[in-house]
Amino acid sequence: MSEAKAIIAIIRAEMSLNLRRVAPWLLFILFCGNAALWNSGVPVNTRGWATNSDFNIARLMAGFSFLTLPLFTAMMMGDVVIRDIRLGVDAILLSKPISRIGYLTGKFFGNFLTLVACAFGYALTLFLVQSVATEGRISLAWRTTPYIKHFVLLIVISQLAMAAFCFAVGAITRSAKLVYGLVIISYVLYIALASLVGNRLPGLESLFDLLLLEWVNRASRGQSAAAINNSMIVYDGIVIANRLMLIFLAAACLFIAWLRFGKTEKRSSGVSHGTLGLASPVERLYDETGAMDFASEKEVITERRLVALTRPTISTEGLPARWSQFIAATVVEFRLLIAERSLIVLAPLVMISGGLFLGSFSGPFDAPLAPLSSIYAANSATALLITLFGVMIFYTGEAIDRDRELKVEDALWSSPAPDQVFLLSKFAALFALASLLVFLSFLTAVTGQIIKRAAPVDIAPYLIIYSAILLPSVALMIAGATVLNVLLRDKYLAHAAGLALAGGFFYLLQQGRAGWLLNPVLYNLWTYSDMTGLEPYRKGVFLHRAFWLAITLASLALAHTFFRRGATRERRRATVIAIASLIIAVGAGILINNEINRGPDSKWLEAARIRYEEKFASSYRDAPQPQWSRVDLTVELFPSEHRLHARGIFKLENRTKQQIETAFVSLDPTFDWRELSIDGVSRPPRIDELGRVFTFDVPLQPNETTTLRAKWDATIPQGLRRASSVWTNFILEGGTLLGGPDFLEWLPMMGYLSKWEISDETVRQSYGKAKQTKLAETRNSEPLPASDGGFPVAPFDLRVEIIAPRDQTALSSGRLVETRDEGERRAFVYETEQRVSGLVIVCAPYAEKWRGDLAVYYHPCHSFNVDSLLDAMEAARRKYERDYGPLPYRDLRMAEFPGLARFAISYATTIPCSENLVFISREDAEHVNANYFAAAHEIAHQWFGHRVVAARAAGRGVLLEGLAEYAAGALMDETLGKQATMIFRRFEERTYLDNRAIDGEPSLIDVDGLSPSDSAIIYQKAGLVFHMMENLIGRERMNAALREYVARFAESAHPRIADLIAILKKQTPDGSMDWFYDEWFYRVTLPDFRITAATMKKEGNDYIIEFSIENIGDGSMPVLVEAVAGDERSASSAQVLASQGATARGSIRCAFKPEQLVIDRLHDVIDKDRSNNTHIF
Amino acid sequence: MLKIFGLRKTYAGGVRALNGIDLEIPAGMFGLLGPNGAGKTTLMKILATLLDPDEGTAAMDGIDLIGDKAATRRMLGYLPQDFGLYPTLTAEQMLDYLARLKGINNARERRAHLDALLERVNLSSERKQKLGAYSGGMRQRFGIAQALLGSPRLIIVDEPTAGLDLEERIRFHNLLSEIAADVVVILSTHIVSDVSNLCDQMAVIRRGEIIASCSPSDALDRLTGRVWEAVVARDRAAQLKSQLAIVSSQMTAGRVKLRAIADTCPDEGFAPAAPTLEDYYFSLVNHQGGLK
Repeated sequence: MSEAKAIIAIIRAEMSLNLRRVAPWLLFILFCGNAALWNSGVPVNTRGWATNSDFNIARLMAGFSFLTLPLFTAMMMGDVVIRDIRLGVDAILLSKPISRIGYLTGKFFGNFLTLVACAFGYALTLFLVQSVATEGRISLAWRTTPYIKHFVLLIVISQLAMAAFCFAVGAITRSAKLVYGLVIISYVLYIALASLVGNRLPGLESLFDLLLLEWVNRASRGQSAAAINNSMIVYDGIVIANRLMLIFLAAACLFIAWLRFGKTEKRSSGVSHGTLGLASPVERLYDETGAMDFASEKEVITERRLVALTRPTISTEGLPARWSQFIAATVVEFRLLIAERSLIVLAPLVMISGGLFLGSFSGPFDAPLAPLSSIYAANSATALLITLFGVMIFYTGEAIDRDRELKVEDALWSSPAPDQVFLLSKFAALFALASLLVFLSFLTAVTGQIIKRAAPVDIAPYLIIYSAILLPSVALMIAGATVLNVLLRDKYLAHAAGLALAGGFFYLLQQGRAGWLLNPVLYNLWTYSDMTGLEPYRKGVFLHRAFWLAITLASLALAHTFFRRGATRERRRATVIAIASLIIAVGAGILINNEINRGPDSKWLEAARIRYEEKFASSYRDAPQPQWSRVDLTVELFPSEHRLHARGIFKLENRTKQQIETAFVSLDPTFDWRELSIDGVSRPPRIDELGRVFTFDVPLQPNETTTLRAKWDATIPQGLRRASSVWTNFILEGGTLLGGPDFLEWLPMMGYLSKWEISDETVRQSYGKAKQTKLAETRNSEPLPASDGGFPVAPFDLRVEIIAPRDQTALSSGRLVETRDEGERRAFVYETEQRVSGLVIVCAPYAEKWRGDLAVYYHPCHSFNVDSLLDAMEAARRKYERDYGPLPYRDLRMAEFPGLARFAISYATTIPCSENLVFISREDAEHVNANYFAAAHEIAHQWFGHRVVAARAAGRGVLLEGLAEYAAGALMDETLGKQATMIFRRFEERTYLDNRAIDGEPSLIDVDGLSPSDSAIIYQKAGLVFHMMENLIGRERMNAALREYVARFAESAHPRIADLIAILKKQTPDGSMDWFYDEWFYRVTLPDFRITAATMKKEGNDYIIEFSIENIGDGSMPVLVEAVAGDERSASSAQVLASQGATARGSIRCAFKPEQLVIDRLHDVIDKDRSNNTHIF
Repeated sequence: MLKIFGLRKTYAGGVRALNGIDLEIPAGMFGLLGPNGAGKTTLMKILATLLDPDEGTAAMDGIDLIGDKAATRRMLGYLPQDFGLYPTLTAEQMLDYLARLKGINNARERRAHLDALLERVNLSSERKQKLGAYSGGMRQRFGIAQALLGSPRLIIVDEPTAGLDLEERIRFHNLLSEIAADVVVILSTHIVSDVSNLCDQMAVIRRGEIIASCSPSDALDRLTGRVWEAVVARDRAAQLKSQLAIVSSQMTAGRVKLRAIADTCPDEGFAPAAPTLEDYYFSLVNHQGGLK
């Protein structure tokens, strides 16, 4: 009883003490502010999520648990016991009649309840904000329960485990910094754990999603805002197990702390670690024996002849003397830092976070990435940035506070060393420590690379990224933490302020407001590519670093100004430096701003697109326009200046059946259109920033032609890259791509470009525009519009001459007919043998490899996938020509372009492919073979995209991407085998199920590609549906149908999806497949099979399996049920038709003893939930 | 000669620590006596450039201790009252660091100087030992060594013998006496015997004011023939304390030994006693009016 009272007394005392501390109040205010900010943020307003929907509340609570709690929990709980020891209170408390368990229990809950109270501020603010009405905010009826439920389940329980962990580590090790470091690194571990487990234990992801962030977010995937707002977040068994696991984890941590925390401290072994180590001097018992042997000392005193003290030469003035002092101080500070035992734990963890996990980062199609130096350097820099931020913010506080805590300050400060020796030495030592940790991570990464032996070790990316991105950011963090510690004079306050500041920047970033000036660590503003290095951002990075370096200097100068020791004169000097640094920072800021403003930003582009629609949609959206029938183009590339100079003669033809009075040419508003004229137009055109309107003197009659002549200059890209933007066209020293799929077209495009219209409803609303109207559908006998969004336009003949630096190879559609040197430059001339639709230019210092007419152009360091790509290209061409008809182009080439964006785009004969899409993926048996697949898919577009250009109508994407996806799968099935294809289809199915719009999925007939979730229908679902169909009617008949489809529509009419279905139906004239088209093309069907019963008995030497399965989803797809032995060598199977809602029974006779019964082992049929597809005997 | 004039210091909370300190401190050992909270440490910190006074001046050999901190620090050796060490450094490393901060840049000279200092404080054999493993006495000796770095002309030692045993105190006294020949050594303490043993001059500070400044022998002279001692029962002692100017009382064998200051025998049972510096000190700090 007395123990309980004592515990309660400690709890009350702790809470009372916390009430008097500034830090908890600061946390409370921060948390409240945090809730207000996140709740008013962009996601709520733009995605249509109601403020107080169950999902949004859970999302915000889980986000808070992930982003905010760990660091602040470490701050509040990490040094609870350490503080007592430092202040000497522990001895007083523990000398009272209370057990160590009681003491720890009281300390833990006293502080944990304070922390919960602080976090309650977050929940309370969210609760109150639901009643605040602002523009764009949606609120449901007032509610209370979800706030309480999610606060307890998502915050309190997560916080309990985190608090217990921090408390136990702090109590046992006496190292607050170790706690901080572990918490920082836990972020990396959390992400790694989630990604590793997510890939390996499907169905159990939520169990290991310790903060449930991913679990909550998963609930929104593929759902409309309305569905989300009306849905409930249900804590299923796995999630309850997750919460119980955390409670158990908390109990285990506390139990270990109770076991390990001794009431009587052990005697020190002699070598101390000080307050910065694992035990403070206060805890230590001094060993007086020996040192205090009076008798022997007396002898020494009397016998020893005292040495005379000489007067040494003293010099404290001048640079050498100051330098000597600074070096001495830095060396000592560094020694003190590396003597920290917390580093014994932290350093390996930093190495792990920066190095070892890199190997498991996945690229496209979840495939692992090749261990390239650039990948390792870029990924490790991002991981290290987060880790070092945490480590440095806490270590800086400790370093600044150390002299005062250890009472060394007076002795040091009375020495004739200037202030900067003390402050700058700490800065320099911390920076050196950070550099050391970075170096260790570098060694880990390089070791990983060497072990994997798949790519050469290249030091340059590490040097460039670490020196340009990582280390300056770390310097800024240390300087910022230094000034906060000096100004606030309390390390806890400084920690909280530092975290809040970082949180503020992160918030701005999330809101899309963290441009270059508000993004001190360049987060998300750069992409390193082997082809370009940091070249696209060189100027921006330099200016940014100058800006933030000036801020760093200003911070340090400010720290000197407010340094407590500071003499007036030194303070004055520091103030001058601070002001000068700020002036430089402002100057750099202006320069950066100017640089940014050189190029169009997203807001400008948005407004331009709206203007474009307003001005031209009504007149030209569906107006007949002349089309290119031949293009003669000369493009001079100046990669070092990011510039091109082009001139072109575009033969225009009226392919419509109407006469054309005006020709509308869409133009990129940022280019310099120096000359633009059309033959037959004598009147000056109507000039607009976004286009020209030419009125023919005499209307252009059907089949009549004329000529457009143009000269223009362009700089691509302009200015610096914005946080949210992706460059898809660029002229860079490392590589040029012109023809990427973005808003800015680089050629004078005929007609109205519907793709320039903004489709996002929220953005349209903000400009007062109604929902985008669908384009008028074209009939398959009609020609397509002149420019229907870039890909594809109507076919034309092409001759293009590209003049580039001599060390580069330029590629375009067609066949290379001429090269010639012009001084330091080289001209490449391409001509098409057959008409093409679309025009692309890629150019870079390539290595190249040919196999017949197939070629791969690649960065010299990316040779490891080249043979695999050529294999895929060769196999694809052979199969597709055999199955779908001949290809009229002789050459086929894949060319790598810098990985500033991740996509591949298939132009006739030439397929530009992003560096980070296939060229750096690693092939293994467990993942999709990304290289092979990408080549197979893009080459399939030569048939389904170039040979056959689909009509502008719903379902068009299915005819382009769905067929390409299917063809690639069929090729992989033939060449790579069942297992590789199963992995591919598993990925496809998962992508479809994760991204489909649950409440509004369109059928394949209706899908128009306007919704973001349509992509999963057009690519993945359509590909799988064609595969299911092939399984039902057989590959031969499928190929015959597609051969007929290509033959009928190639280079003439444009098919719609109904045309394809009609051709497919001809393969089953008895109508036996009509149900399939109905279910899979005209309706949305999603089967969900499960085994409801399975028994096994032995008959002679055979085993008889009897089973029943049920389709609890939709449709009536037949599905394969297999009895499988452990090694999967032998399996017997039975096909069962499991119609919707019905149960089907079947049996299998096996000559071996099966271990499992599996539905659809090879993923041949789309299945909503595969967790119940296996029965283990 | 260190001249202090009109030093005043009031802390932010309103505590007046120094209230117009005037002192002239010649070369040699100077004792600054005062009870806890009298303002000794504040005065020491001001002289050691660690604290700025609100008013007043302090100068030595033409150097303004308040205005020219850099010059002051060059001639200063300071042993704070409550000082700590970096526990993970060895004595040699830390002393080397402090020596470089002091401006002893020549490596050979510095090494010789450190050797001599460590030898003088008897830490030569423990020079490679980490400071965290030092005993209280060893730490204090180290503190003294660092205060003597660079042979300073002004040495301020604040409560230096706190925590030292008798042997260490003797050693420390010897050391200070030796180096105090031509430099100013200010010894701030509340242990009167330290001052009586060591100092040529002394001052007593109470509530931020200097209430006496003289040599220890002068102080004793002032009490010659005026100190009386008696050993009485407890009841009687309480009665006498309220009636007489008792400067100290001490329990001895169950009775109380009282010492009083009076020109004539203050009461029955009192006998003349030889004056000590404690008598002088207690008479000053325990009685508002001080010596009459």
